[in-house]
Amino acid sequence: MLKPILMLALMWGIMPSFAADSAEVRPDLVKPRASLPIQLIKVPAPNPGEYFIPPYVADIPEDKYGAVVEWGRKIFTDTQTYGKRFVGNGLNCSSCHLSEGREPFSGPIWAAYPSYPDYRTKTRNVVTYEERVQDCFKYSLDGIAPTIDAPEMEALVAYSHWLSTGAPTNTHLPGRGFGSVKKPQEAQAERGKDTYMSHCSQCHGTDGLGKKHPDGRYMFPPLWGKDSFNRAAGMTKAKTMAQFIRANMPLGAPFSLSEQEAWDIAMYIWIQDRPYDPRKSLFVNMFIPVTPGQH
Amino acid sequence: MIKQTTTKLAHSWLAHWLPFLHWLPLLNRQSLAADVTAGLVAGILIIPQAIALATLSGMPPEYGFYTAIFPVIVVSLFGSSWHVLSGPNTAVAILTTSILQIYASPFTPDYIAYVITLTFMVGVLQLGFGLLRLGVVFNYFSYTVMVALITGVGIIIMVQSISPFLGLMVNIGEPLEDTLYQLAYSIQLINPYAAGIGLITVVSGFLAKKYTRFPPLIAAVVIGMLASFILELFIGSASTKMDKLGFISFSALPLSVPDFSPETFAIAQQGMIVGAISIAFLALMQSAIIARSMAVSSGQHVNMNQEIVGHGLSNIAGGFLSCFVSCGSFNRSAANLESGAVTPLVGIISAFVLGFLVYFASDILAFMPMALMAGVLILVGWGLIDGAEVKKLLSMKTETRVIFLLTLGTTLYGGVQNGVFLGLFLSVVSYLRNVSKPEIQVLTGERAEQYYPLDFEEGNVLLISGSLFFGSVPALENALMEMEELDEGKEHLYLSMRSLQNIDQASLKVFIQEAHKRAEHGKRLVMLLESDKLYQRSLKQHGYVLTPGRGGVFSATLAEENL
Ligand code: HEC
Ligand code: HEC
Repeated sequence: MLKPILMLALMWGIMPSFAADSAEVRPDLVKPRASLPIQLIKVPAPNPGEYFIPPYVADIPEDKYGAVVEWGRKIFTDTQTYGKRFVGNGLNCSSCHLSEGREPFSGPIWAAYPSYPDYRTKTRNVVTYEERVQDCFKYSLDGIAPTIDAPEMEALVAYSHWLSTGAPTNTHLPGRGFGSVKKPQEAQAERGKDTYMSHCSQCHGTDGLGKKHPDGRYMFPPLWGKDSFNRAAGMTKAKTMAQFIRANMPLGAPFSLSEQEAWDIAMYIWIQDRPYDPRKSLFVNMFIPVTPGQH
Repeated sequence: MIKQTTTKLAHSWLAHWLPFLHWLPLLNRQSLAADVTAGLVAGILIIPQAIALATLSGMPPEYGFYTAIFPVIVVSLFGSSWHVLSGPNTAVAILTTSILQIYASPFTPDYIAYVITLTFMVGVLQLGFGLLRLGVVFNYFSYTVMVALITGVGIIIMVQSISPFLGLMVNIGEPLEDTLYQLAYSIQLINPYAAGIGLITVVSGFLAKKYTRFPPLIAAVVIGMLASFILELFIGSASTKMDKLGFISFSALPLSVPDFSPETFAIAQQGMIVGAISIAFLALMQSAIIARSMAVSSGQHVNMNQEIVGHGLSNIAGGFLSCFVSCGSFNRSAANLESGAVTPLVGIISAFVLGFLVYFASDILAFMPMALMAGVLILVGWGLIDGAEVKKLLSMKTETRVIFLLTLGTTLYGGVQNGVFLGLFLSVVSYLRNVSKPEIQVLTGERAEQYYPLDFEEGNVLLISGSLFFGSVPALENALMEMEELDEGKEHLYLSMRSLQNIDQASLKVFIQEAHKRAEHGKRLVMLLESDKLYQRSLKQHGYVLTPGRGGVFSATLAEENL
């Protein structure tokens, strides 16, 4: 059942003209990142009815609420500019939450927003949506969390709220999170490096540091190094990374790698250097190694 | 020869509009060195205040820097005082938020647009004051009211800063006692790390003030930052859960436009106009007081109207350069004088120093905990409250105390804006009350003798000084009644009015009546004057005749035919 859907999805991704006809993916979704080769951003349209479909960008209301939603959308897709005050690395929210946070299995926002407040094992308490977003700022963006009452936070919440228009609350919607990948017998960074070089390096670079526009911003985000997420981010968990890779990468060809390949790459990415874990003291960060999957 | 005078004329005309031509020639090697040093100090000193006051105004921190840069340059060039440094101001910041937070949430783009429009409006009003030469008005502003307003602002800031100081969040815009109540309620939520850093900041500020000559705010920030870096080295920045300032996006030329478009401006119009008036007054009051006290210390002659024009221009420029309202800053100006500044070049240098520092230090400033900033604000607030002065005002058993308490109470409970308007009103009232009470002494017998010429017949004396106008009629009548009780109107009455400035018709009428009364007993009422000025101006028209007497004393009496 899943196979044909995936095949179809794949074809959509590869054939841009076809995807452009799809009602689900409209060109205006894509505009903010116009500098990317367009066929790379076109995402396979999910089967109608299978995943929740958030409202179209063109339908953002033209009132004050709409203005805040639009602001939140800008912060989400271009955090480097609109959330500059809080970002410590080179990423945007949409680097990991693809298609402006709409893409199933890349932490879609419409699945996340209606599920909060929720219990988190990472912090061992019930957190609100705002607190959850603060964590992505602190760890995934290696930055400084906006306060809960900061207007940028309000804008992000408004955008999330709008994306979730019509979504049922407190339900585990299909497509939430990053999908599941079974842990294989063993994951090998060595092997992962080879796969990385053949499948990923053309965009993220052989050094994994990404590729920049002439203006200094990233066209392809760094996977490690000082401009990437830090040691406490969800993506540092090899499992989450493997899930993300399998469901979303290489961009435009989701689910093209095997589970084993995804894990191997995740291990390879995991052994690389990245900013320290801000939850721990400098000394712990420097001298005590972490194990994959610890988070 | 002729040519020289014309260039001189042209020069003075130019210098009128470009006041910096006055001090430009003063620059030489020595004064330049002094100014550069003072400029460096001033540029560093402003950093903590710029950030803290931006937050207080509901603006992102970079706007605090813009306000500490551009208006300072403009005031340096176009103001009159050579030592006043302008910049963000605490009372104005508080007033700005209280006016605008009704129309947009602080820190949002809408709010920022409102603030910039407000800055421009304030600038236009101030420029108007200056060009209409209303600078003299600010001389009448009651000192008591000023102290009350500033004290109120100090208390408000301190109470508002307690919650970020403890790492807590409380509802904003609530009455002070509600805020305190909320704080008491959420004590178990205090973030000990934030509270610790805040405490270190405040304590080091106080210690630096008491025991060193180091600028206390700078000491507080440096020590607080060091403490938080060390803390996070051991615990990890995310584990302390302290809110931080964030990265500052500083632009060298942050152009902006005041926005009077109907969609945004219309809903806020009324509040903003009233607000702009109150801010313009509050800002000028402080600027004027500062300029005057700087002039006293430095001996420079300050042209108040020019000073006001300078501040008006600076706020107009601020509207186009992303600034909130600025005005003279007392502690910075005083520090400026102390560090040996000679010319306003200091302001310009300090602006460049600040821009330079912010550009390079923004990555460090980004990690400034909000608790530290709250600590800085508490220090600023504490500095605004002049305990000795307040005690003195409270111990006065006169209307001063009432005015003080009334203004303070209104500021604390009704907001700074109402405090300003009440203060203005009370200033006018107390001014009128003071001038309407001329000093009158009732003298009889031997004690009166020295006040009238020897060749006059024996009589009683009213010693009058000040100004006589309709407001002073009651006081005048009282004095005459008192005299009547003593002499039943059966003596000559001499009015010794040597230092009298003015007399109007209403009070003249009182004298004419009295003259008629005394005439019934064959006695005279004589005004003793210093010169014939008053006579020429008003007495003549009312049928008085003037006789010059011995020792330069003129005596005026009603002409016979008028009695
Ligand atoms: C480096 C990649 C990355 C970036 C950048 C990033 N996130 Fe995330 N985000 C994740 C991962 C991974 C998770 C899931 C973590 C987990 O479950 O442990 C996540 C989870 C979330 C969730 C909760 C999802 C759910 O289903 O519960 C929200 C909401 C969220 N992110 C918002 C944001 C926002 C807003 C931004 C930008 C400020 C952002 N993220 C930036 C990687 C990222
Ligand atoms: C065609 C170019 C392309 C290829 C090939 C590609 N990526 Fe990406 N990748 C992107 C882009 C673009 C983004 C950011 C998504 C966005 O901005 O919409 C991204 C984001 C990511 C992210 C999250 C952001 C971050 O910096 O951590 C990870 C992880 C990632 N890619 C891993 C991989 C891996 C592993 C492969 C190889 C299997 C791969 N990518 C192949 C273009 C590519």
